[in-house]
Amino acid sequence: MSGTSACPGCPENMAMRMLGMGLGKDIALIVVAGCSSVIQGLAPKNSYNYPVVNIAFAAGPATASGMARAYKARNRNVVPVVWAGDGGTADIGFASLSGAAERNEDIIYVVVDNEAYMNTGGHKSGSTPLGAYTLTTPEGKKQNKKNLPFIMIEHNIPYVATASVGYPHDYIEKLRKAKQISGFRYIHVLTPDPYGWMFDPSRTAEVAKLAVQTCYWPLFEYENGKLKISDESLHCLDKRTRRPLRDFLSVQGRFKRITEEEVKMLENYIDSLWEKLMKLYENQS
Amino acid sequence: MMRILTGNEAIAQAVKLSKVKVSAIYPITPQTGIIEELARLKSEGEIDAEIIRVESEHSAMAATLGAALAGVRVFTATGSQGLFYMHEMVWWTAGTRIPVVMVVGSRALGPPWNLWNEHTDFMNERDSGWLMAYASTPQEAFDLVVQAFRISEDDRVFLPMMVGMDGFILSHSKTNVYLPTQEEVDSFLPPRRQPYIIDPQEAVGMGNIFPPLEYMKLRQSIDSSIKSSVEVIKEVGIEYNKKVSPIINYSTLNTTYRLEDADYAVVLMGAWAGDAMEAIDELRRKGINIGLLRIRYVRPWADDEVISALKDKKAVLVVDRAASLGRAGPLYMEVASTTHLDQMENVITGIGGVSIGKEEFIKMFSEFVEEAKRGKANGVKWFYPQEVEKVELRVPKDLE
Amino acid sequence: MLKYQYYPITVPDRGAGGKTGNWRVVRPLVNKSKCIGCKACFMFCPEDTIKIDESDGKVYVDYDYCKGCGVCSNVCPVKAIEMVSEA
Repeated sequence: MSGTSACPGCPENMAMRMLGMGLGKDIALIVVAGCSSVIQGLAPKNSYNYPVVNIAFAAGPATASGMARAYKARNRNVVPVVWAGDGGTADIGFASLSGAAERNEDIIYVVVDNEAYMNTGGHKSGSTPLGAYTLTTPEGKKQNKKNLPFIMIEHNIPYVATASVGYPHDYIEKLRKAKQISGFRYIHVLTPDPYGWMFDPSRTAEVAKLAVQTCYWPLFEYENGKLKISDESLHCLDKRTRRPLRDFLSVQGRFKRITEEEVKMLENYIDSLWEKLMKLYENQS
Repeated sequence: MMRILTGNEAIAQAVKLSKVKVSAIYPITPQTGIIEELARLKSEGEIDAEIIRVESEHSAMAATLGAALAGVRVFTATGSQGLFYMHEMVWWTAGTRIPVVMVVGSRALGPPWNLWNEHTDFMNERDSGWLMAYASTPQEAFDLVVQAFRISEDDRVFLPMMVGMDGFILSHSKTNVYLPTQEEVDSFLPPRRQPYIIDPQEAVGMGNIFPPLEYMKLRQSIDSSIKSSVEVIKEVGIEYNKKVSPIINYSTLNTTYRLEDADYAVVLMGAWAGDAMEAIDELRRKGINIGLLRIRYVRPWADDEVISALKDKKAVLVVDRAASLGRAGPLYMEVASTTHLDQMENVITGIGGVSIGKEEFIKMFSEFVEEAKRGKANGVKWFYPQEVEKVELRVPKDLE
Repeated sequence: MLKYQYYPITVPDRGAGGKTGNWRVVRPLVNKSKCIGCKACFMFCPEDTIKIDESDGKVYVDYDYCKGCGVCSNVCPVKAIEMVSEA
């Protein structure tokens, strides 16, 4: 609801509004520590028009597991939806996420990935990309980001999808599909943060699109062992039709001091990402 | 019906009779027997609870809390390192004001590894906002768990409650336990009640930011509810005695043994109360006028009971199976902040499972009474059993 | 819910972060003659402050809460939203 505590141009707010369009009303949100804990605003109000459980950083998937079992015991048709950032997913909440996925709990897990601990002011997470400036990697991060969607695919869960706030219809469609499936569903949304990534807040949607167009962020779905590359990312299958990575990097202040060598390393990483995806894609057809 | 059960098995029966709907479980010695028994009861169709086999204690409490928030009766158990790993969620649970029941099978903390019993893990949670009872027999552990659901779900309380028991000494020893019938428990324990439910039927948010004044009011409301739970516990105890089992008297929070006419008082909690009572009988035969106050509830702390039990004593000895290192035993600090007598002594012992039985208590209590007669029963002492002739410790001051 | 106990719970409402329209340094102005009613701004608005005018299917702005981020102007395919200074 309007009047949240989010920064202007917030991609997480975009993703949350779209979540409402995709999932409807019969859900309960579990929000782990992060920007979204603050975005909800101050008591006695809450800007999320849902039942919401705010919970400690590492506790989201476990809390949702308990809720799912309780709704089952009460014969209530309610889907617990975990809403977590990349820090809460790739780092501190990873054991809890992995455990709930292994148990194939009947929940939806949405990670809004702004590629750093933005709520604390912009600190490196396991999901920060190589070359990016954060307050704890002032020299630029030296390692690639953790490849969470692939790690989740390896958990043999029924549904894994990636999305970007730059492509609302694709994201909303994936949410709708996830809602129809039972078991553990994982949706990873790229949410470019104007303040942490250092671009003008009016360009949030544009940067989210650039990430996909340059193939930095592949959009795909993995459903019951089948990989499907989303339409917005089909051009990435051929290296020649990919938009240059530079177009994505140059609009952001966090890559201002990235070296030529690091750009090459980042490009290689993206190539390897797509090779893995293509291998997965070819093996099934 | 009397059955021969371990503390762990008795607790699993209490969970069954209390009709728990969700239990998140994670193994740690010495409480593992409880969750094994719950899993067995589930697989044999004796309970219809959902069992969540989580990947850590942090998640055990998170999942338990999640289920409780979504509207059902819940249970979990842990101890030692597990309780410490869970610590963040223990506090988070208290903050929600949602009823949850947990058993703590207490055990020492590492390093170094030590599997034996002491009370440090349990006592560490006393600022958390939970109600905290500590059992001294498997029967009492059973009774307290059944009562914990009723107390924590009372609208004057609405807080989580943990029941502690000595690891191994209670968890693994088989004794006679009276198990009431389902009808008896049903007549005592009404269906689940809680202050709010997280459900789309009524969209409430739990736990977004509260400004300072409102936050402070929330903390005080927990404080007040713990204090007002004293009356609830007595009320529930009396009803439990009437409807479920009269074996142990629950009309008071704490219990006493030969204390009324005693000149000297011992205060302690847990399973070794049995040995202490035997020691007291022996000393009484020798003409030493000593009695016992056994603490059953650490939270709420029954000031009135403690004050009236100790007010006319010549000296008080508090025996702790835990230590706030560099200071004193936690039970001693509780007692010392409740009542002010000229002579109050603290003994810290039984740490890491050091065995303290009747003979050790006789020696300890006799020394205390001798000191008290000389007006010297004060301060904090670490007590080792008789067979330990000399304890060699090297600390910086030895080097001087 | 009991009135004499206090719980950490809240209810959904607008303005949980305050009257956020006060944050604005630039304001979006919708040129209704240019607007084609595609609702791209509505879709991307982070604050749910782009509203649809039922009469013509075109959009207007809820200035009570609009933070002036400019996302609407950026995503508009026909440049119907202009950001102008509040000063």
